[in-house]
Amino acid sequence: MNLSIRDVVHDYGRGPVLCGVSCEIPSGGFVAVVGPNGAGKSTLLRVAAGLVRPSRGEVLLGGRSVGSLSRNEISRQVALVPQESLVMFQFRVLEIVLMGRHPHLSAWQFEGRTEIEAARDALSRVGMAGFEERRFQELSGGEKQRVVLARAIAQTASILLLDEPTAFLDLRHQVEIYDVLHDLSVAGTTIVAVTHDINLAGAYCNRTLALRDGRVMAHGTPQEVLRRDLLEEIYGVPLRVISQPGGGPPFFAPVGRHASSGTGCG
Amino acid sequence: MKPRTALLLSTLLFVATIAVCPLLGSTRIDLGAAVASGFDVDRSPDAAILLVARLPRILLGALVGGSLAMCGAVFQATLRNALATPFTLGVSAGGALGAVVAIKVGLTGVVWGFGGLPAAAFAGSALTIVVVWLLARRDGALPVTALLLSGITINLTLSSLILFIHYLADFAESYQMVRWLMGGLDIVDLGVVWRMLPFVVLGSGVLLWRARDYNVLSLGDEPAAALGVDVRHLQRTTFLAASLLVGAVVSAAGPIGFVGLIVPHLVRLMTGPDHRVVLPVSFLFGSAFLIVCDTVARTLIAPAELPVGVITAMCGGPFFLWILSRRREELGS
Repeated sequence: MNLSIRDVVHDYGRGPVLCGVSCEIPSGGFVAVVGPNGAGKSTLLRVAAGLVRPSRGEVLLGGRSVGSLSRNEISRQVALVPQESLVMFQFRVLEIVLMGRHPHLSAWQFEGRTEIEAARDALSRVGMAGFEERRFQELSGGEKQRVVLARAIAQTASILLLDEPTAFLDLRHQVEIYDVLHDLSVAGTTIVAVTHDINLAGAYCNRTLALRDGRVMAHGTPQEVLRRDLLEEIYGVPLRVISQPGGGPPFFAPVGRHASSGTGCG
Repeated sequence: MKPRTALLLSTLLFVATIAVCPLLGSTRIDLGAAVASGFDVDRSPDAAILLVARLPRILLGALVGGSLAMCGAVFQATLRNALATPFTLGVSAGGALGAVVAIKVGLTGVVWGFGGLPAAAFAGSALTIVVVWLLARRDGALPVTALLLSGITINLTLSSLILFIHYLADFAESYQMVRWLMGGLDIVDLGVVWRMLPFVVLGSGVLLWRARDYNVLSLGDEPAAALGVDVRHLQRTTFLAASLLVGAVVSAAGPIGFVGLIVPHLVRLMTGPDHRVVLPVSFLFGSAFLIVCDTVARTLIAPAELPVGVITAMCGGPFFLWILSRRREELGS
């Protein structure tokens, strides 16, 4: 399903956060949203999910305005993976993932075998098979993040919005999760991921949207957007570019004043 | 414990309590004699005690205990606080104010079958619901913090008013007020039970219908909304249904404490936090719990009777000591 964001302006009452953002994301697109802290990336995701009604502008899901859809209709098509999860009560991992089926079940319907299979399948895709009976609150940050992603996968939505999906993940799980997202996008899910990891974004995504101060600074393929001059301007930090010998996308590393120069340590 | 087991056990407990407790009391009764007389209250003293002195209060206890326990569970979920009670938002304080005003003023008489005192208590609760709604409403939503603050405000303000009215009362009125505020099930009229039944059926029906929504709400307001829950609508409906239900039970039985706090915790410990199980099991278990407490209240210092609120209060301290001695995470967030 395609996602259209048109001239979205939003102000929480403490100053403008989005100042006219427009973006057309085709079905099956895998978009990385990058930009400095406070650029409006999370707000953009929440507007796209219909959780926040923008002061101006509109969001279209498959051509239909989000404002005209009910919460339930939106949640059947859009899944959101937030940055943090604070769960009240001692729910178990499988119960949390099964909640992803909530938009598709009627009021007093209990989850059946199909739903439970879908939940188990989602858990194994994110590498959390075997964790079904563990209590969610007892998991590590990275484990919780993967469970929440499994919940979003179980929601079988055609648009998946993720806010920093790899924030707490170790090196292995970072690429595993992006591999899962890649498979989903190839299968037709539209993916929009807000991320600070521009290198992962460059390696996996087919489109990149760069925001700064609530405005779109660039929108295009990773080759077009992830360029040193543009990134240094957007992030306001000098970057070192390391090209990969195999011919993949270049690697960007920020340069701090006291960072070691790289020579010396064996 | 699997949901089916929990429901079965609590139903059995519920039925057993209703069947056995009428037979227990300060006076021994002969069930055989009562049956033989065809439960004729005029001819058989055993039947009279059973049907007039005991059955009404046991049935009322079932409705009150079940409603308070279920509302406690619902408020703990929607206020996102494991220490929330049905009285946190001030509804019972409103009922108490109505009741003490009625006692001071000497309100008697019957309105549509409802006695003056319960009617005044319910009016107090209803007014409080309106005030809390107006205080806490923000943009059509009822945010949790606003609700909690409004509830605290109402509780403090009304408590001071109740204290003042209590001060103005003479000995007889004062005694009546204190006894009402302790909470008691000592009724002899099944009419109270029938009049309460529609409130209980309607109120708990509304809350039970939304059981899975409360599960999803535990993820947080935004994640719940992203999963299709209309959080504003849920908060509004829950607040109204649960508060009216609490108002109804408080008007008949006074503010019986601790049932709404203790029972949901115990149930969640046994069944896990799935509200589709917690809500019905809390109702059944809360009913049985209150009936048993009332039976103890009737027999502990026989032939005198303690108000049931004293017994439930006595359960509060040991319960929390036990909670403290277990793992601290059991208390929730």
